[in-house]
Amino acid sequence: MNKLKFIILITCCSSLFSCIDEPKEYANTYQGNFDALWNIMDTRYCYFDYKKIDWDSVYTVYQPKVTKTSNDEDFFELMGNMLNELKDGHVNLYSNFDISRYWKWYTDYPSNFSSSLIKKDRYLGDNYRIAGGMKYQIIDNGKIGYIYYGDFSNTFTNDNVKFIFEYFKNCKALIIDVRDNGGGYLSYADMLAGYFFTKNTITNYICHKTGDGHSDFSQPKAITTNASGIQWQRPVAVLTNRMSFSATNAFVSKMKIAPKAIIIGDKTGGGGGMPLSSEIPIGWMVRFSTSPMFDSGMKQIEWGIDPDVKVDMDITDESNGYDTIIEKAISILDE
Amino acid sequence: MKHACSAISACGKQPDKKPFVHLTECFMPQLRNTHTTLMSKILLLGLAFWFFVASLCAQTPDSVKWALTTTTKSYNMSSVIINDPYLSPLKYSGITLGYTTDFQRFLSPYKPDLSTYSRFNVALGATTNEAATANITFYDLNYSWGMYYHIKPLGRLYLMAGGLLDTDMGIKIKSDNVNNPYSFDFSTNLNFSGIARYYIITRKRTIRLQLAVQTPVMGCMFVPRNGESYYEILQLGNYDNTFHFSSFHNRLGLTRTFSIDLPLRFTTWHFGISYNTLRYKANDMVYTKDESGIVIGYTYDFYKFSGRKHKAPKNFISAGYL
Repeated sequence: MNKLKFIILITCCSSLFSCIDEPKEYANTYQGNFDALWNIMDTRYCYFDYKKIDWDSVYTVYQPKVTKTSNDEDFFELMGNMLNELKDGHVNLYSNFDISRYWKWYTDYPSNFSSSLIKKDRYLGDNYRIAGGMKYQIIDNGKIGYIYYGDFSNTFTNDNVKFIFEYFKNCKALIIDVRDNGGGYLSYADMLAGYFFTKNTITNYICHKTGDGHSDFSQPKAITTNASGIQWQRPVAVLTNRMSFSATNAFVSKMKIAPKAIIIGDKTGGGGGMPLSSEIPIGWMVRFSTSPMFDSGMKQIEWGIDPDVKVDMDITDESNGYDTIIEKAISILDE
Repeated sequence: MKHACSAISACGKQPDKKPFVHLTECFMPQLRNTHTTLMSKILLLGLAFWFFVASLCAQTPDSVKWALTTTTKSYNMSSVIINDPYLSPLKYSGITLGYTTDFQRFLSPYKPDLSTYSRFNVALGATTNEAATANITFYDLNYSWGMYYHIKPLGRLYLMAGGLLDTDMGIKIKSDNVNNPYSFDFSTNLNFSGIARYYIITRKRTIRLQLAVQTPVMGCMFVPRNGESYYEILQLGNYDNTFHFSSFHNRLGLTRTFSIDLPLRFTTWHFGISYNTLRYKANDMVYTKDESGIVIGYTYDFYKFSGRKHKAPKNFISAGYL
């Protein structure tokens, strides 16, 4: 009798497997991959409503073209073009022969940065120091400290920053140049901003998709920038251009409300949505924005952040070895 | 023990209540009076020895039973197919290697129908997608503890049914992903477990055949939302909708292991095949894991190896063997 009960119980448990549906699978054909990619974006991309994109019409436009593609390269190009309809620098398709990208967020604007120019003797020169990925030098006859930080993926520590601030102890102001910084770790953006806040401050909000609908989002979660034990309490200028993107964009949105901070240069490139990755059956990886970020006033930062002082590089200055944006920052900080 | 009690009661105290206090009170005044410390030491040593011998004489091998801990250490290699939609909607297949050690022991040797069981398992796996363009590696730790009720319905067939409480911790890594390069697996479950054992007794050895099944009944599991990054979960502390009550409505699994334990010259070898399947669903994502493989190990009772030539005395009761 006990044995019978035992067998019945096991049978019941096995039959319960039908309660959970198997994950949906797409065929590894061009049509299957197209449907998989379109569906991933449809259910998980976070800016359809904000950007007023009709994703269904995108399907209608691109789906008929799938049958006309005869090789992987053509198909990849078609898929890349479809993703570019999102106008998002955080959206890429990765194959083993190419990466699709949307770059108009900065190629349609002046570059406002020259890496050779900042290495002139007037700025970094040849003998600049490097700590934690930050290149730094004292400029303007010892009055201003200049830091160029080109990648928020480069690790830095409190010790690095402590040494830099110690080196700048006789400077009356600081310039942090994040032009052409395409982003990296959000945690470093938060950490770097923390040196310029005197108290813990809510600097951003973030939310994420909670369902398949284009408007299904979680409640925004506050991101607090904690004031660091190491403080720079003198004026600071943050230099930006359109290539200041993603985590750099978040850093600038924080510095926008930092006391004694001023944003100088061009509007940042945006990239306010934290991207995650997924895959389609052919094995190509797709990256896309899933978690929109907002500034402290709950405004979207996807399209970039306006500077406090808008400055573009001047060709004449550039030919004479001057960086117009740094010069503008020096003149403002010298006042 | 009977002799010891009567010796204590000889000093006129009440031996049933506080025997050791009585012992001290009996002899210490005597020692102080005579001041012969050497004599007192000899007397105490002699008394202790007498206690020891008396207790040994009172315990014959057949009257005292001991519960043995049956230990099985095994290694397994399996083919595995996983689907972790937080990392990728695609199925990944590959191999997994694991090590398991388990312990079983009767709660009381005098009543061999209830045993405790514990198991520790560690596994690592490497998988790739069908297009061979990306890999997922995973590491898994599992600890289970529970109890079995033993019944013997007929002949050499033994059945066990019980509950196991287990904690599972693991991580899957897909390093080419951006902001979601890993996925944590955490769950704790109350499982139903059943074991059927049949012993084949030959002239030289006893072979044990075993079929073990286990299925989760209820518990708790960690599953993040599909669009939520671990930055938001771990650094901003946004745990909303990440922990879920689990039961048959959203978590179904079945582990099945058929094994044969074969005593050879000095060792009892443990060979088996296993098929494990798991499905769980939360936050509109369905996770799957199907695993089938082979198990090789050895098993022994704790006091010595249970090889064919070294059988335990009858008063040593094993939960794993006849």
